[in-house]
Amino acid sequence: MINKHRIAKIVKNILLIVIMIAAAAVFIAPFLWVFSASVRTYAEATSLPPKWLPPSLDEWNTSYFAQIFSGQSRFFLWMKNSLFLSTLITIGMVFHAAIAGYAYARLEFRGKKAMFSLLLITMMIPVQVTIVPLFRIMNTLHVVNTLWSVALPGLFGAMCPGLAGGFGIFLLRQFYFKVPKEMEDAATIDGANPFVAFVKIILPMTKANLASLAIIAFSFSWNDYFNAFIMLNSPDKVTLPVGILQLRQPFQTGDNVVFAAITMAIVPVLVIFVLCQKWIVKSMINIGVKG
Amino acid sequence: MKEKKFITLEKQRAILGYCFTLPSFLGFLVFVVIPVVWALVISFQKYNIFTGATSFIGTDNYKAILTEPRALQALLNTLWYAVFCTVFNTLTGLLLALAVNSEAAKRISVIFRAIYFFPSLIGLTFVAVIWQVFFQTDFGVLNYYLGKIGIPAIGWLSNQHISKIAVLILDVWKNAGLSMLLILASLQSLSKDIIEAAEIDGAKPVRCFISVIFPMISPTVFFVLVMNLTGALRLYESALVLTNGGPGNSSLSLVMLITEKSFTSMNYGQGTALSMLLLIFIIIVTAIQFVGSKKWVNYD
Repeated sequence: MINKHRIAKIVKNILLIVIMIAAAAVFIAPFLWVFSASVRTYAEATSLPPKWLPPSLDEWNTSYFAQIFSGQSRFFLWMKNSLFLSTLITIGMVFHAAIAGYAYARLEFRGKKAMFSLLLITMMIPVQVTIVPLFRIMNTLHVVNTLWSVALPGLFGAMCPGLAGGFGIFLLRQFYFKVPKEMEDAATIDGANPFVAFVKIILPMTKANLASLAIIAFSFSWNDYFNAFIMLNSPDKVTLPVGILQLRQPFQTGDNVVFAAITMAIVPVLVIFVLCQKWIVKSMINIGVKG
Repeated sequence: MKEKKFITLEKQRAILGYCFTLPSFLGFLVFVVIPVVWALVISFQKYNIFTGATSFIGTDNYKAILTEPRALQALLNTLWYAVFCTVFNTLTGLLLALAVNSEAAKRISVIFRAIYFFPSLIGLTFVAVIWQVFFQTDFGVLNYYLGKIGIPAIGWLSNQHISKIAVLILDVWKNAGLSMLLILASLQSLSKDIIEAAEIDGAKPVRCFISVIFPMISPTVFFVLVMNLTGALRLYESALVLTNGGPGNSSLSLVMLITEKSFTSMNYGQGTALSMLLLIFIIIVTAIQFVGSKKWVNYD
């Protein structure tokens, strides 16, 4: 009896694992394919049956990568724009969310509740609703077609899918609630003013949470297409997601430099993901559970 | 005692409160609150974005979009996406989470979790270009394998009745991993004792899931559902890259039309009027979330 039970269980587990591996293959397949396509000629890459794996090393066609590295395509320019923009947005967002999150959690001042309520309301307004006035504002500030036109709204969450606006503040506020009050009191009794107490005692305690927010803000702005597409229009100014779409049309031109570009856009994310998987996963769970 | 300190600690903390909140508060005011009110105003105007010239035309923009077949089609498509993308993303996420959390995957669950989640981290425009190749009718990867099992070629991107399904497939492949991750976190936080107790009582796995596990993870599932719903209402890049809204208008989404009206045909009034419809949808969803998370979801 017990043996029969056991065998049934093992069979069931094996079946489940097989299904899970099949599902995993579906999730990985597009990445394998694009890498394989990027080192083949166009005709080879699009021929059937599909080529999931790259050919042996001596048959690699590296001309598309050569095109990118020789600067024929603007890939590195776009990458630079993306890096600059994402870094700026991440630093700005973590900074203002850290101080405001602390203030909303721990400091008492008149109007706090009203201000925080307004903040919560802004969290549900997607940038697609505000894009026309935003464009007008940027036009008035003479920053359209510069990275600032994406960075300024981005600092306030324009690039976040689903969770716009103050989610960073909201997230950090939750963490600051958990910091024991005694820590602050001890610091102020020692004569530190509230600002010093925050910078020296509280801020270091939330390093991990600031890093979580930074990872999220960076990945959202790195992947953002919409804002960059609307605000930037010269080919030198756009970011990676917009630029790569300009490289598209493999089927018309018989040219798969776009696959090489996509591979190069994905590899850094893959490396970072493999190295800090735990962190990234934790950060994402944090927004899900707390957001 | 401390006469020389003119400002009390309480006052110091209040001043610091303003210093800390005002930068972001003013930012949200300028870049979110004012624009949304302004957008509402523009939706009743004929507007020129470059000169700022306006003329009030009442509800003409709304009348125009609500009688335009293309706009109605975009609204219907968006509702279709809202239903199917939300359901399939959440369901796939739930099933993947249960599989990863199962006893079978125990030792290698971290690897499966990483693989399923990875597409969520990649920019949609990058992967959409790959999927566009997969979806080709004659040389596409999908039809190649379907052909192997005897299914005739499907016009994924060229058939009006199927284009939305292609967008759905890409959307689920891209986003189900995030749903999985959040639900998995909730599953892993459950106390093992309760589940074991149910199993000892002889509950079958399905029964155990329905009456023991699901009620406990329902707040997270509900959150994921709402997250996917607001995401689906804003669906944009996947349809843009795969089909550019076509064939016909069969996969055109609301956000695609907002962008097109505003920044291609320069009809800002109608573009913002459409965006107000998007906002109304999102307000409804948020209201449901607010009520739902209080009423029918089991928090413990």
